[in-house]
Order: sequence, then structure tokens, then C-alpha cells
Amino acid sequence: MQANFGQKAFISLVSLKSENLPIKEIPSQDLSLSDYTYFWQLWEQYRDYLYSRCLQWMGGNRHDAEDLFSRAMLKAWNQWPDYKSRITKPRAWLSRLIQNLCMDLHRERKREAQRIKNFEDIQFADYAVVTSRLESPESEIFSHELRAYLHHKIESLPTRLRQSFILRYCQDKSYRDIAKELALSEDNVYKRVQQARTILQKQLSKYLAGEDDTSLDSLPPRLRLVVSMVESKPDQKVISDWEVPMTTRSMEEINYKVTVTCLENLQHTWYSSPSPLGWT
Amino acid sequence: MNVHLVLDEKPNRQDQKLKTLSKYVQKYPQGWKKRLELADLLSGMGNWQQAIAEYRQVIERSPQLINVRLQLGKILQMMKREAEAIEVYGSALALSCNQGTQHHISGLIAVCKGDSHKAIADFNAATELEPDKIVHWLALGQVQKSRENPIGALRAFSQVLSLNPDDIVALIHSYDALMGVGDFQAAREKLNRAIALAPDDFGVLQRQLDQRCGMRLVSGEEGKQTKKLIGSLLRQAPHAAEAYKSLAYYHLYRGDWAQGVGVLAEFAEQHPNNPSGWYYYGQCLFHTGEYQAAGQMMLKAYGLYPNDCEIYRALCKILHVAGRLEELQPLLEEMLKRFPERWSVWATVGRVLVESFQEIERGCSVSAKGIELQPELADAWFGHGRVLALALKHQEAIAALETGWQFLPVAGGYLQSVPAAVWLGESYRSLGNDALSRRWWEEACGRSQELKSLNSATADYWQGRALEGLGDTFGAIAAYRNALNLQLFYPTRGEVKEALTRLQAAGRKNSPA
Repeated sequence: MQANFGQKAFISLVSLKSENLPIKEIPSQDLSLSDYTYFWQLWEQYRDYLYSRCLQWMGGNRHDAEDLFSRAMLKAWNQWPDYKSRITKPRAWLSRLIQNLCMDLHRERKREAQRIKNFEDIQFADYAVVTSRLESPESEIFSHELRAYLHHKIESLPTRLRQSFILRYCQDKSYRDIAKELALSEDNVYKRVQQARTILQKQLSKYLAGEDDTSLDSLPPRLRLVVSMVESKPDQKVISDWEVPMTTRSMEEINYKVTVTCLENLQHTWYSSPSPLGWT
Repeated sequence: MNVHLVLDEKPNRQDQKLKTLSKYVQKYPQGWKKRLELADLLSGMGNWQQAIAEYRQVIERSPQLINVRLQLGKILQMMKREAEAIEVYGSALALSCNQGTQHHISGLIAVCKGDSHKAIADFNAATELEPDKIVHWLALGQVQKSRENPIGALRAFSQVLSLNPDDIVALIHSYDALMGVGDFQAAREKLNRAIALAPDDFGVLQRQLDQRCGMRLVSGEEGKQTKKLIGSLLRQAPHAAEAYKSLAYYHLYRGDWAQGVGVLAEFAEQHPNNPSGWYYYGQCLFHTGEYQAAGQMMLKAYGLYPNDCEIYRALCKILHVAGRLEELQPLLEEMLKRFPERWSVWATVGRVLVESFQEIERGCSVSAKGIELQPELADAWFGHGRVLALALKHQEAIAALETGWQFLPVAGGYLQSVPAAVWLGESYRSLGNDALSRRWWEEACGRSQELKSLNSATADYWQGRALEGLGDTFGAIAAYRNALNLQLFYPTRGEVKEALTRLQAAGRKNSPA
């Protein structure tokens, strides 16, 4: 089974260490055998070595590697009759075949990333563009995971970039309105939005290519909640808090100095009086 | 308006910073960060008008900064531009999405409107939602203090100290509140803690000096130490009337009255727009028996700043003894209107109405308002009781004084309890109850011994008065003489001199020929 884009992206979040598997040598005289039995003997013989290579090319992702290893096995089985006469080093041939498949998969993912590159196409409120491409249950998972990932990355943007970006893409405001709201020039807002886009595009490309190690476990609880909702209510539209008007949560810590600053009125000089009211 | 700024940190190269920041904001007028720095600098330099303009510009450029709005609101509030402050606070409230902050800002708005009841409710709500936020407790304590509720203030500041035992502001306010309820032992502990933590803090130094002057630590080695502290205060705030007041009273307690008065006369002349200078000068003249001059100076202070309760209270005392009742009368209504939440204002006006204007019933009903405002405060009951006694309503006076007695702290409270015991003795004597009057005077004598460690001249004065009531002529004379030697001030000094003449004459009459 070919793992779809969403599934791969999801499982790519789990990082595993690759194992160093032992390489076993095959006697060269056995290479003249033409029946499929020989293929399976070879496959079994090189299995551990080939899997270790596959795991390495898939960046240590065991799920991706297993999936791809199955595909490679089928492809090799199919092509064996055509190539068996020309194969002098079967281990190298099998190894190359697996490597090519791995490269194909990486290229495919990169192409996906390119397709979601244009931020104007992404509706951050409901991710319509992203979800429209993903139909299977795995795609649903991926869509929510992507939502959580983007949340995380947008939250991680520097404040000055985040504000402008959210107003532009999550609240769909014009540059003019944002400039007015943040008391900045339109040029400045545009510049900030572009900077935020560049940062996010790079991160998203990495993520879609499976090169981002961001673990869902490391996300803040609020973002993990977004992901967990996929299991209980998969059809429910998650309302992003970015849809509500910009707030100033982070700036709400009331300043201690401002609070303690006060006009000191004249003090009653108790020590010069015979009683607190100065009465006798 | 004249404000003396006390800053946490020593200002360094302010002019240079001001020049650099001004140039920067001119070059980049759209930025807000440097402009905010500039506004803070101007605010710290006391240039509030310009600071306000800069803060407004910062808000225009970065409207989401709630704290800048609160800072601007606070300056406007301090400048008595309450309407503008309310507007600014209102805009901050609209931006806030945190309930605790919203209640806090609502409280600030209520303070500007003079509605301390609502302010307290709002700050209470904020503390309930966010009990770990010191700022809510501080704001609550400040409002309680401003409406002369030391019990409520103490509760709030204790919470601050439970969150941060080293909070100097809370320690100072707690000291004041504990002095207000009469718990001198606990107050002293707070002050000692504050001294250990921040010996050079302006507020700490001031209170430390008040305490040392009260204890008459003005001569010998202790005197040197007191002088040293005054020097430190003067160096820190060379233009603060409070620092010169401490120096003046140091001289007064040493017996150098002319020198003490001279210090404040000079300060007032050099700072003619500073109401505090005229206030302290007026107080000093009053305490040295120069009532007419004192009245003039206090009226100058009042003319410059009619928003301070202490100036009104001083005018009530001075104009009464100076016999300037025509000038005093219009001030009474003004006081009640301006400070309706302060129990001491109602008690003071009540006393003036009874004593100076013989408006007995009105005076008594006005002072009764004080106990309505602070029904758990011993001082409020004692004040009302004294007004009733002066109105010759001794039965009611005794009831009020004895109720107040129930609210005294278990330990301490001598500055409050000694006069109350003397007054109770006098009221019982007026009712012909010799046994109870003797009992209360004896109580006063016992407690005045405790008061000596805090304020010996005051303790001797009350002891003399109690002994006089008990018929111990020689004991009373001795106590009165001690009080005079320890620089008991006028007008009590005048009263004591008269009593001494009377007692000495009686002593001569009774002594064997």
C-alpha cells in the first residue's frame, strides 16, 4: 500500500533512531539462477542490510521505511525477470532500487510543499485549501496535525511579525486596516507580513518534507487539544482564536511601578501630637 | 501644581538621554519604542505635560499597549485631570480581555470618580480572580488607606507581604496602617524589616526619623545618628519639604526652637510654590505658639493646594486657637464635601462645631458620621466620644469611648488608649462616679508608662493630667515639668503651663506654713 501524503506527514513526526544491521555476503556463483526462488533467497539474505539502508534514507522514520521497503520489494519482484540476466551484483541492484524509491518519495513531498507554498491560498481559519486535497481519514488527521503545526509556528513568530500576519491571513484584513490598527505604515505592515511568510514557508517546506522534528508532545496544551479533537469530533470545525479580534493578552500584566506610583499626601505627624488626632 | 518626585534609581545623564531620544524620535517619527523611552524619561524628570504628549503619541502608534495607557492615566490622575484619566483608563478597559485586569482598571476609574466603595469592590473582585497578583492587593490597600481604613489597608498589605515579604512599599504602608490601629509593636517590626532591606529608601528614612524624634533620640550618640539620617535624607531629596521638616523638628526637640523655625522659614521662602513647605512652616509656628503667623502660613498652603486633608485639619486647629473663626467657618463644609469618606474629617468638623461655634447637636451628629464610616476603629470612637464629652453629653461620651476601647489591639495602642482613659476618667467624674473615674485615671497612669518608650513628652503630659485628676498634685507637677523639658509643643504646652501655675498655687496653699 502506498502511504499517502497526509499519513506520511503524520508519521514523520515520530523520530526513531536507525539501527546498524550486519551485512551478510552472498557467493557469486549463485547469481546464475533464474527462478524466483533465488530472488526470495537473495531478498531474505540482504533483507536486514537493505532495510537498514532504507531506514537511513528515510531519515530514520521507521513507518516510512517499512512502507517504502514493502513497495521496493514488490517493485524488485516485478522487475527481476527483466533484469536478472544483467545483474551481476544483486545487493547493489536492490540497494539502488530502494534508494531511487526513497528519492522519489522525497521529491513527491517537496512538490506537495511547493503546492501549499502560496500563503494567499491558505485559509487559516478553516484550512479549506489544505483539507480539500486530503480525503481519507489519514488526511483528516494530517489536516488537524497541520493546523496544530501552523498554530505552533505562527505563535512562535516574533510578536511584531505575528500580529501583522494574523491580522492579514487569519482575520483577512487589508494592509491599510492593519496599518491603521497597529499604527504602522502600510509599507511596514507589508514588510512584516512578507517576513512572516518567508519564515513560515521555510518551516512548512521542511515539515512537509518530513525534515521537521517538531513533536506534538512538545506543543503547548492548547495546540495539543486541537489535534486531539480529530478523534472525538472529526467533522467539527475548530474555530481558531485568531479569528477573534487581536487582543493584548501578553501586554496585560499590570505594571508594578505604575501601581505603586502615587501622590503622597501630607502625613499626620503623630509624634508631635498628644493623640492621633492631635486632641487633648 | 507642585510635586516632589522620589525615584527608585538615581537618574544618570538624563539631559544627554533626553537629547538623544528626542533626536531619534524626530528622525523616526513612526516608531513607538524609543518614543516610549522618551515619555518614561520625561515622566521620571517630572516633565509630565510633555510626557503626556509623548505617551499619547505612543498609544496612537501602538494602540494595544495597555500598560502605557495605565501609565498615562496615572499621570493624569495625579495631575487631578480625572476626566481625561477616566477616558484613558476606559480605553485600556476596552482593550483588556483578562477579567482580573478589567476589574483592576474599573477600580482605577472608580478612584478617579471618587467612588471608593466601588473601587474597593472592583479591586476585591480582581484579587478574588487573581489572588497571586500583587498589584491588585496594592491598589486595594492604597484605596483603603486613602479612606482612612487602616484595618482594611492592613489586610491588603499583609497579602502583599505574604506573596513577597520584601516588598518595601507594602512594608511602609503596613507600618502606617499598624500605627493607625495603634499596634506599635508590630509597626516597629515592619519598620525594622524595611530599614534592613532598604535603609536609604526615602519613605523608610522619613518614618525612621519620625520614630527617633518621637523617642527624643536627639542628643548624644543617638542624636548624632539621627542627624546622620537627616543628612542622608537631605542629600537624597534636597528640595523635599519633608526632609527640612525632619531637620526643623530635630532642632525643636533639642530645644533650639528658633533654629528649627528658621529652617522651615528659609525653605518656604526659597520654595514659595510648594504647599508642603508652607504647611510644615505653619505647623512649626503653631507648635511653637505663634498662632497668628501659623494661620497665615497654613492659609498660604491651602491657597496653593486645597486638596490635602491635613492642611484642612491643621487650619481647624490653628484658626480655632488664633480666634479666626470667620475664616474657619466656610472651610468646614468644604472639608466635608471634599473628604466625605474620611472619618477624621467628620470628627474634626464635629469638634470645631461644638467647641468653636457651639453648634452642639449638629457637631455631635457630624462626628457620629465618623463611627459610621469606621465602626471597627478605636480612634473613630474615641474622636466621637471626645466631641460628646465637649458637648457635655458625658453618658453618651462614656458609651462611645468604652466601645472604642473594645477595638484596641491587645498589645500596644497606647497613643490612642492613654488619652481615652483620661477622657473616660473625666467624664465619669462629671457624672459624679468617683470610683470609676479613679479607675480610669489609674489605668491611664499605668499605660502612660508604656507610652514613654514611644513618645515620652506625650506620655508625661497624659500622666500629669491623670495624676491631677487623682489629686496627686506633686506627681502631676513633676510629670508636667518633664513634659515641658522634653519639648512638649503648643498648644498643649500652653495648657500645661497654666496647669502648673494652678497646681503650684494649690500646692503652696496646701503646704504647711
